[in-house]
Amino acid sequence: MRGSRLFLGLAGWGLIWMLGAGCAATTGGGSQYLPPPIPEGKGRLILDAAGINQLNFYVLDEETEETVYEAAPRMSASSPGAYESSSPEFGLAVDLPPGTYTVVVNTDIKKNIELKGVEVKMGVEGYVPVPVGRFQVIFSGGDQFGSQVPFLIMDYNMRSILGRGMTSSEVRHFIVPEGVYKIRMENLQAGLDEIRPVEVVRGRITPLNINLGAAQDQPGSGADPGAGGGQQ
Amino acid sequence: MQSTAGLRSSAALVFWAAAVWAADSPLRATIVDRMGNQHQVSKLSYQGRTEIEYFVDEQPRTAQLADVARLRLEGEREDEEARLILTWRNGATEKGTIFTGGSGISPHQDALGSGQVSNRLSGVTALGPFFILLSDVSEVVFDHSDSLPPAKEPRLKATVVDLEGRRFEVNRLRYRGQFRLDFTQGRKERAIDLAKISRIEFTEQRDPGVEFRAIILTLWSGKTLQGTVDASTVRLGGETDRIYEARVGAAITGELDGGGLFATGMHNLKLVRFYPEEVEGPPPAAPAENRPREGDQ
Repeated sequence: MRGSRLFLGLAGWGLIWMLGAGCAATTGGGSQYLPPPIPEGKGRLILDAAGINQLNFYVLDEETEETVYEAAPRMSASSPGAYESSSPEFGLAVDLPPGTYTVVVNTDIKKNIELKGVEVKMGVEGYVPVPVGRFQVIFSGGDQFGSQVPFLIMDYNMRSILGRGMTSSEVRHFIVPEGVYKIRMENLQAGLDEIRPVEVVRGRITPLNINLGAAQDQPGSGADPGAGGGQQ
Repeated sequence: MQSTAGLRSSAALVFWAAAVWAADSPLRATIVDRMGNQHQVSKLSYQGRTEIEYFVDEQPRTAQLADVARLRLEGEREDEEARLILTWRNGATEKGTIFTGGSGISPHQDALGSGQVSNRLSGVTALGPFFILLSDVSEVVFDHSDSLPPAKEPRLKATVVDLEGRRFEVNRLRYRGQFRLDFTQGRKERAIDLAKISRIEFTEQRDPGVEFRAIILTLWSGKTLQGTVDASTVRLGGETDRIYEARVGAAITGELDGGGLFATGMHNLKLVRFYPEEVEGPPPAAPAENRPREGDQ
C-alpha cells in the first residue's frame, strides 16, 4: 500500500516536471520561429505572393517619394549562378511607420508590378496580394548544349522580348506576372529552335518540360532548322 | 462525383478569389457583352489588377483603367487577339490590340499540371461576384463620376544629342513605349517617370562589348541619381529582325519638331535634356556645372 502511494507520488511529480519542462521548452523555443513583434510605433507590411518566399521589391513613401525599404535577394533570371535555395527565409515582411506607400515588385521580366496606395497602420499586420506566379524550365536531352541554355521570354504573340532566362541543373523558378508567355530557345548552329507557350498563374509553379531527345523524334518539333517553327 | 465536388469547390474558390481581389478596386463600369446584355459592375479589375496591357504598333503599353472612359473590343470571340479602341477620359482615342486568349488556350503538353490563365474582367454586381471573359466583352463604359480627375498624360519634349553630336528636338518622347525610364542600380531595378527627369547624361563613350551604359539622371527636384541602362546591341538567339530593330534601334521614340518620327537606341545617346512641361520655347539655361560640354552639340 505504502509502495503504491510512493509510486503514485513519484509518478505525479514526474508528470508535473515533464509538463513544466515541455511548456518551458515550447515557450523558449517558439520565439525563434515566430516572427518578432512589431516594433513600437510601426506597422507590418507583408507581401502575399502565394508561396513565394523571396522577391526583389522596394517601397516608396507616397508623400515624399523616397525609397524607405528595398530588398533584392534574387539574382537575375539570366544569371548562370542563380538557383532556388532549399531553405529560403521569408523576406516579404517589412516594418514601416504608419502611412501610405507604393510597393514596386521586380519580376524576372521587364514588367514590374506597382501596388499603389498600400496603407500601413500602427501595430497591425497588413497583407498585400501580389499577382505573380512562377514557372520552371526542365531541360533535358540536349547533352551537346550542357545544362545551361539561354532562352527568351516573350509575349504570347512574340512581338517583343520581355526578358531572358537560363536553364540550370539546379531547381530554378522564374517569377513573372500572371499571364501567358512564350519561351523561345534557339541555337541554329545546333539545329535547336524550340518555342513553347507557358501559362503562369498565381499560387503554383508551372513546369515546362523541354526534352530534346523526345522532340527530335517528332515531326515538326522544331529540331529541324528548316522547319523554323517548333511546337506552338 | 468527387470530381464534380472538386469542380464546385474550385469554382467557389475562383469566385471568392475574384471577390477578394476586386475588393481593392474602386472602379465602376457598365460591361456590355457580345449578346448586348449590360452588367453594372463595381470593384472592377482585370486579372486582379486595375490596368490593362495592350499593343500599339508592336510596342507593349499599359493603361490605367482609372484613366479610361470607354474601351471597345472588336473581332470574333474565337480570336486570340482582339482589336481594342480605347477612349481616354480627356477625349483622345487610341487603337491597338489586346490578347484575349479566344475561347481558351489548351494547356500545352509540356506544361501539363499547370493552371490556366483566363483573361477576364471581374468585380461585383448587385447579385454577387461577377466575372466575364474578355473575349465575351463588346464594350466597357467606365463610371468615373465620383473619382479623381484623370492623370494628365505628360507631353514630353526634349533635346536629344547623339554620340555624333547631332541634335534633335523631339516631342512626345517615350522610352520603349512608356513614360517611364527603367534603369538599374547594382542588382536593384528601378523605374522613374520621365516627367520627373530634367536630363539624362551618358557619362561614358560607347563600348560595343558592354551591354549596359552608365547614366546620371538629374531630376527637376535637383536630386541626382546614378545607374545603368540596357544598351546592348548584341543580337539574342531567337530574336527576329523586327524585334531586334525595335529593341536596339527604337529605345527612345518620339516625333520630330519639323514632322516625322524619331527613334534611336540607348547605345547611340550622349544627352537627353527635357523641357519643362508647361513652358514652350528653348529649354532654360542649365547651371554652369551642368552645361553640356562643347563636344555635346
